[in-house]
Amino acid sequence: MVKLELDNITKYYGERRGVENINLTIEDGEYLAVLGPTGSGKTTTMYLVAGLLSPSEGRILFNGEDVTKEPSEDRNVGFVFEEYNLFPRMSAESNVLFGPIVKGLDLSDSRQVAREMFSLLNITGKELNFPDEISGGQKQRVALARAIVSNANLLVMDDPLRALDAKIREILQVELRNLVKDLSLTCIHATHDTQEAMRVADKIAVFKDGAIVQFGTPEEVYNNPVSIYVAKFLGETTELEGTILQEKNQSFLIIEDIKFEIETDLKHGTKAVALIPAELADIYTLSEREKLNYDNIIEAEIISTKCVGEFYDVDLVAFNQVIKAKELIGKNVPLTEGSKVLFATDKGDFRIFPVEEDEKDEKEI
Amino acid sequence: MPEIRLQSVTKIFGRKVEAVKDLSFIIEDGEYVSLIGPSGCGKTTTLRLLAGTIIPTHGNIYFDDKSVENLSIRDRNIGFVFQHFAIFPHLTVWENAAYGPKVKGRKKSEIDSLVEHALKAVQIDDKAELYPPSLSAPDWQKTALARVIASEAKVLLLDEPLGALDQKIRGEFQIFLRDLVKNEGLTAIHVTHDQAEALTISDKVAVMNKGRLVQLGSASDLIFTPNNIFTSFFVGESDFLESVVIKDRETFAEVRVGQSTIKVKNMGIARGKRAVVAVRREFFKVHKYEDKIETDNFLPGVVVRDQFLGLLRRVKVKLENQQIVEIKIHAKHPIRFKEHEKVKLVIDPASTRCFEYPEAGVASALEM
Repeated sequence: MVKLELDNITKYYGERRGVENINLTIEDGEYLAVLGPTGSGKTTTMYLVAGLLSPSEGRILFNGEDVTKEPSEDRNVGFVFEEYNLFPRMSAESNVLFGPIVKGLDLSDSRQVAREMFSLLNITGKELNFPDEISGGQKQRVALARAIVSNANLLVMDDPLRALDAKIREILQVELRNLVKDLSLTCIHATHDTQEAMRVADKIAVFKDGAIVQFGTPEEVYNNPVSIYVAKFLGETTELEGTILQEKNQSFLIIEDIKFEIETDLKHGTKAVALIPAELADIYTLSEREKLNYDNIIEAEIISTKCVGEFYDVDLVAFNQVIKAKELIGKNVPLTEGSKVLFATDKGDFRIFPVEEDEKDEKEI
Repeated sequence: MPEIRLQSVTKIFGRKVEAVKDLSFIIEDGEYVSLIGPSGCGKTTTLRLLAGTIIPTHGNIYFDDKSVENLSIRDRNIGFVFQHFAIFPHLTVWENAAYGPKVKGRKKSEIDSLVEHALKAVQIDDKAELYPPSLSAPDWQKTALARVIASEAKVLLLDEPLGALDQKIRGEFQIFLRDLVKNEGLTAIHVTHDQAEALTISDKVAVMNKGRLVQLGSASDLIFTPNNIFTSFFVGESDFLESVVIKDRETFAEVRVGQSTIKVKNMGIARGKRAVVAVRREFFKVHKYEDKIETDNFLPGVVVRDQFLGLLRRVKVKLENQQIVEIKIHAKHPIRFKEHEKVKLVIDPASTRCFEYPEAGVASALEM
């Protein structure tokens, strides 16, 4: 119902930069996650799209039409905040119907829509409860219903699940995506949580210091992070330093006397940093070596292991380096401390960056 | 040193809000126990009951067989650490740690040796003369811990003690905290909303819901052998298969799920009864339907979505009975499943749990 474009948007708060030169297109019906740490410009971007702030420079377009100067109430945007922002002295239903009443929409129609929203969001029966009588998850569902009920066609959410317990968050991530897709809404959702972004979104924009550093599908961003910053932000990694060896159309990373096959365009002899996401560092027992089909297999020793729910977090030691691995709990590897195992990776598992970029990156952080 | 025993403890706030209901469990001397559960489950109330800042409406709490009715807060030998560091900002680290023994009227030489030991134990002896405002967040928490140790508390109550620390530091602090508790021979009770933290740090974890204790067990008990539907749901993620038991004689029972029959763990549900089979989402193995596999313990289904999440992949599968289950597989699983593709979901019977079907339905057992 709406295609959203941010055209060279910049926002300064006095001297302080909120965001700078943001260019972004969200297609009609697309779900975009804005991913970044605190202070990276996520909230500023959300407020600009919703019309709660005006940009210092640049234009915001809805379906090609410039809405930069239009006030928030004329943009048909539903907004959901981290802190539910419900009216404490109104029932859940009155909260939801507030928008339609203020806008002068037909109340019986709106009631009908509200009822459907309550049912869709599994909060039927809570219509007459006040916000302090329902749980955090239910409050956020009411806030969602309120955002959508007055014909919003763009849903803007600023870290909507942050205040909720992990379990509720997980459930609502799935519900949120289903809802947005069922209603064919265009949606922009800010979060600091990589798994949440990947779970809900069609596309991800990674923010750093008020600028977009990477944009793509979850898979593109995960598989090809453009910088060490992005690679590290996506999850736990092992960081190794070595030298690139180019040999017969194959690329390798040399660390001491170990030779890992990798994928890279870096020149022969370049000093490089390799990041290996912990979940891609696979562990097998020594006896399995024959049947494994990996580009790199080396022996390692387990120094610590702990079960943290869905994964075992395992620390390995090989060639004097600590390697972090995550193994799904369903896998049958005896993960006892002190045991010798095989550490297996494919060439695509290494995120390779030249060393200079690393130093520059560290300074910026 | 104390063993702590809760016996049918109920706490009602006002006239009707039952924060904790009929809670009974034992924390053994020197044990590290974490309390987890959804918000409002009663975990913080339980901690306050142990601290003595509130008293039970019914039931009793014993410290080494002494009822707390006759035990002042001071005689419980308890120390607290909260998320928001309750230390005196105008006193140095040393003075903060010395506060407890001073109030107790200890001699100067005793205070010196208690504080010295405490600061060494929490590895902050090099900052003894500093004031809290100049310290980092972890050092504030270390100061709070030093104060507990110097006061010779034997029971340590922790309420989200790592809540204000960054993710990266939390991991290191968890190990530090556990080692400290073990080295000092303390009994620790730790409330957290972070499951991974509870599973990492504790000897035992108590899962609570709606004011009740749902299960008390080690991390591996809760993950691999949950004894009820709620634990299977709350700790990690499981799928729940509604079924009917058709054979119940052997180690493995046979159950009917839709049109298929599968073997699952026999947990004493009688033949003919309805059951809920809980399977951890990581424990399913998925194959293309046409693949030859060695087992016939599988459920057929159709792929709804194969979602790549980097860390892992989540595959949603619609079973013959129209139920949708979601499984987790390795990000590099060799097959990318297409929508509408027929698959086999292989289930290892040893990894399943089989519970009685709750009268009010599975959803009722999952209510938080």
